[in-house]
Amino acid sequence: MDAVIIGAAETDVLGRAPGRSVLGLNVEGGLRALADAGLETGQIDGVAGACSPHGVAHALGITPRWVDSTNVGGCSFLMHVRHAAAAIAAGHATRVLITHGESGRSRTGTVPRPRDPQSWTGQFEEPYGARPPYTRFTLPALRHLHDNGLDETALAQVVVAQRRWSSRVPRAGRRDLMTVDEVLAARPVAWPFTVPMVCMLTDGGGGLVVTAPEHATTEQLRRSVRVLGTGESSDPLLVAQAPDPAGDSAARRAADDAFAEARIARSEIGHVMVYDAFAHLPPIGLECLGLAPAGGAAEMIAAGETSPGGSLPLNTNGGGLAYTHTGMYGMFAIQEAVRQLRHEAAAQVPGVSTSAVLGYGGMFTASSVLVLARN
Amino acid sequence: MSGEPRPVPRPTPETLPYWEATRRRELVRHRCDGCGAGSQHPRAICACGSTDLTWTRCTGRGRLFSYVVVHRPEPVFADEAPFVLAIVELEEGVRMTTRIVDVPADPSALPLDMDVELRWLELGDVNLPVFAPARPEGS
Repeated sequence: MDAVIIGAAETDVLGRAPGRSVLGLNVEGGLRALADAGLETGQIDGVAGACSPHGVAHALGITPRWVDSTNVGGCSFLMHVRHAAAAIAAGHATRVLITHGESGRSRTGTVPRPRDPQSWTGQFEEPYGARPPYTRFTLPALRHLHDNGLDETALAQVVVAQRRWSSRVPRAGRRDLMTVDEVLAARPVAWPFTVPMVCMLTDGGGGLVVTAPEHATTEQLRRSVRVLGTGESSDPLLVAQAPDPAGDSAARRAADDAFAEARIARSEIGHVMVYDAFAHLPPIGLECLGLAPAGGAAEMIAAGETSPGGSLPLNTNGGGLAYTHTGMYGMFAIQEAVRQLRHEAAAQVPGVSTSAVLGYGGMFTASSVLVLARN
Repeated sequence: MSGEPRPVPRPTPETLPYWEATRRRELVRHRCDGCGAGSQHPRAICACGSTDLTWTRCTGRGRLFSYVVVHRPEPVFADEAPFVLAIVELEEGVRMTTRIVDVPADPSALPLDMDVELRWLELGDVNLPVFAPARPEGS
């Protein structure tokens, strides 16, 4: 793998932006990433995104030689980085712009998602009242807790740990420190999940520019982040049919591929981002990444190992639970990893040089992993 | 309440026998004659490549695998909240999303691995398989 991220930026507003459409947020994210890289649109020949990358290219005046519109939910952008690296290695593109924009809160310029009663979810989940992510993504959580001798306190500990990060991040949407008791006493959404254990719902976006070192300037390489290894996989479409999410799952397969490609040991990872639409994902994700022993991640989180000053800083922007979550959070997990590796993060981990990013998509149906390093 | 009707499954050619069986209050699953694997959800072809799939009737017994108690449902389900949305593992070894009924929506009444048995919820042209705590043998 010989790809580098030379541009990375988020939209100005993360939160409520009713005056910006989905397309507008994608365009803003793209323009800001180009400005960060010091590039003009004419220097981009590949585009990727989960929402109409060809439309984004047209809006930006880019004539692409390569387009990737992979949309498997929130981890799509991790896959775009992987696919872009392969396309650049194959000579199909030299510089790829990946954009994300979503009006998750205001629903401005959002295509409505109609029910499809003939789909698998429409036949086998929705008639039971299982449609919002907090009634589907959450379903295996109790099993995971039970099998590891844990209860809902373990979910609350995740919130407590991540608020310690978000309280230091001015752009984070939820910045108040919380105690375990406060998290457990909050309004239930779908027991055992209370409001703070469920991600935010925001408007926002961002962009990334991926290239190979030979196509980058010295100045671009100075702040660049190297893509050491990547992986992706998928699981069944229905959450009831997923294998144990902490066992032989798409996330574990993606992680194994990413670390094999990166040729670094798990012990060398200094920073982690795990897609956290809900509070059970950070511990499950750490275990799938092989960064915590099976069933042992909750204990690490409760002991403060993932909090500021701990041995394995996790979700250092506050995560989807406390930083922002537009609906497809993967772009923001990558952005925070890039900021940490550039040593430009709001809650900077001192001296960090490697990061692992794990994304989930479509509940547990897809997953992707990036192993990144300071160049 | 929104004006949206309660979602009702609409069968495809592959799933029609499953939903037709529910009208007879029978829970069926696909069993592959090629490899013997089971699938709770109907499929046109087994992962092993075989198209020799036989509809077989399930006993309707299983165990509570995992669940959430839904307090904030979509508007169309508002009258039913809180309700228990669950994954049940059938005796045949396959899992399905379903509801747990005839029990308080309270975790203390819902221990994981509890034995459950089949019930039916009438829903237009089909019946929806749901589960309740199993009655003791012989009752």
